[in-house]
Amino acid sequence: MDAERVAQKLPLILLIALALSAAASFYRFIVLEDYIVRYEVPCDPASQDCFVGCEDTACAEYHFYAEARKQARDLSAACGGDVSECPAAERCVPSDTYCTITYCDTTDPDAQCETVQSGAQTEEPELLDTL
Amino acid sequence: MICHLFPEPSFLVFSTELSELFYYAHLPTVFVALAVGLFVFASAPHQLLNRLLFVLSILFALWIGANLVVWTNIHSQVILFAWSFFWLLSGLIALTAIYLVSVFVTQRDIGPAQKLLLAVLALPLIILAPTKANLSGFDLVACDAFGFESEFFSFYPVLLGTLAVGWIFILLIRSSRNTAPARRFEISLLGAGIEIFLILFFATDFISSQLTSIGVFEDSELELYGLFGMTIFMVYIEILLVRSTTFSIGLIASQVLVPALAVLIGAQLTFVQTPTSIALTCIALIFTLILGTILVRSIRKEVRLRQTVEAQEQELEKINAQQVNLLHFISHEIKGNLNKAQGVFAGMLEGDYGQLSAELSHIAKGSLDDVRGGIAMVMDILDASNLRKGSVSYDKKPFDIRHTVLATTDAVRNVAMARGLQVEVITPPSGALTINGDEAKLEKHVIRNLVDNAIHYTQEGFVRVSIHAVNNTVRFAVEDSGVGITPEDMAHLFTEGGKGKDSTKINVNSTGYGLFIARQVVEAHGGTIRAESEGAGKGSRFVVELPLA
Repeated sequence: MDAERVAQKLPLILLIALALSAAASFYRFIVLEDYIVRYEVPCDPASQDCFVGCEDTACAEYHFYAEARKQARDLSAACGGDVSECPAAERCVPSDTYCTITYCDTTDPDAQCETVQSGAQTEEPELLDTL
Repeated sequence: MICHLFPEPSFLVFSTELSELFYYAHLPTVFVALAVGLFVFASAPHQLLNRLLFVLSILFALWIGANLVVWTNIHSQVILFAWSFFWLLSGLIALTAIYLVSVFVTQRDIGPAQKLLLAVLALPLIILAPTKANLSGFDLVACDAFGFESEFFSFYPVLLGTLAVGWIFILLIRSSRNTAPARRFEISLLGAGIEIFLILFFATDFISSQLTSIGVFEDSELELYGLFGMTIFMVYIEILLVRSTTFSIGLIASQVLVPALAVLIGAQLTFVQTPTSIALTCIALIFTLILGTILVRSIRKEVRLRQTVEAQEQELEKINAQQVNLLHFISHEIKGNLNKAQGVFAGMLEGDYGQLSAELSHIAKGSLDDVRGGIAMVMDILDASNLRKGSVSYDKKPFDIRHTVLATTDAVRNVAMARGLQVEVITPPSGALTINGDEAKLEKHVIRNLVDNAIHYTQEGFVRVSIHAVNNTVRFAVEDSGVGITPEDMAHLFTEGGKGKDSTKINVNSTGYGLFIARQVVEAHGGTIRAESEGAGKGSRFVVELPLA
């Protein structure tokens, strides 16, 4: 097939490629939920190095948190659509495909960490493989 | 997964939490883009340019649609699905813009190699859009995916955008060198519009996305201003539509601008708060509708008038061609009869029909002169007709025009002197002035014609003929102290049948074709002819310049 014939069929080829691409996106994000979700989990500054999150610009109100990352489909299976009231989202469980919970790095001068109790370092990114 | 930044939107995109600017930047722009694209496409779906503009409108509308979902939805999977198209659509917009401008400038489709190149450039985006090379995750806290975009995927479309801006710029520069001014203006208009659109679209999108990623901005609201670029581009397209038949949209074009403007202004009512602002917006809307209606009607009238004039012009050209053929036929017939009459009168004077009485001889001589005048007139009309039809051939050879001028002047000198005119000939003392031309036609239609005119239109005084070389040309001039030329007559002196207002009072045989024929013959030899006169009664000067051999 010469270049001219290919060029003539290009609009159709591109249209099919675009449709396939859109279908693949739909399958990946909507059906499979194949992506990582980053969210905040509660953190106790009395026992852990926590990030400090400000509720307003003046930071008059704040909260402590650790950063969690999990596979979306695992979260969906465990919590439905909402992680905010889901204890299973706050820790890594063996059935997780991917899971990390990151605590604040106190050695990083730019990090806004809060630790009430000195002593044991609790920063522990976890990665548990599926069993 | 749900993020809790906003409440659940209605109809996927309508949230009470978002600023009015957000909807004002999106919805009217989608309307304008799609309306113009659809109108253009519907007017002539088979035209490539129309199809490309429609594709561009759809791509842009899809981009805005995805943007709306990303900004308003709270479901991570829906947001990511929409987000995955952002850079893909951006890249396709850049490549379609290149295609569109290429077709607009060259007025033909691009070659297979260029098409393949554009497709190859689009391929990485199409293949990688659904993969982790585009998006790997979602931030439920910020409700976005800025931290999960791959660098390649966010830079590559911007690279394509930059390529498009440069490519289009080069196309515009090239086209400006070899196109007519009117076409150049159209190309510049479309080119500037699409360049502004691309720069606003890619620059604001890229800058806002990068600055949001590194935390300079809380959200990418800056990108909303880039959307207005599309409106600017569409207004450019509107102007083009109204100005020309670029997209063959005709009357419909004039009707798109007003609703689009009305939507843009009317949409402000969704967010203006104060009574003064509402009142001002309403006034602006009413004025836009009233003035827009007047504008549409006026353009519609103008377009119809133009179409009528064009149709009449075509009809006139057809009728004119028929008349020329008829005139040609009649002239030939008259010339044949006049020739016969000339033969009879000449025979009578030469004694072919016996000895004529003095009175009859006088009548025959007068009649012969009249018939000869008539033949000359018919010949003028026939020559003019042939020249206009382009059916005159020239037998060009090198000859000494100085000699021809001297011979012609000598031939008419007696006639001029009989009218009491002083004839003066100024030529170089010696040496030939050789030009390459049809000596017979130049002698008859130019030299003889101008000298005869000078004699006919000069009651007293002089006729001065001069010829000499000026640089690489021969300048032949005939000057007289005759009736002169008024500025009104000067305007149509060399046109077909364009004789002076009072010329027939002096020269009854004037057809008005002599100078028209002279100009045609001179121009066919690569020369120029012009007339100079200070006005009525102040004499005139005709100057012919022909290239030397």
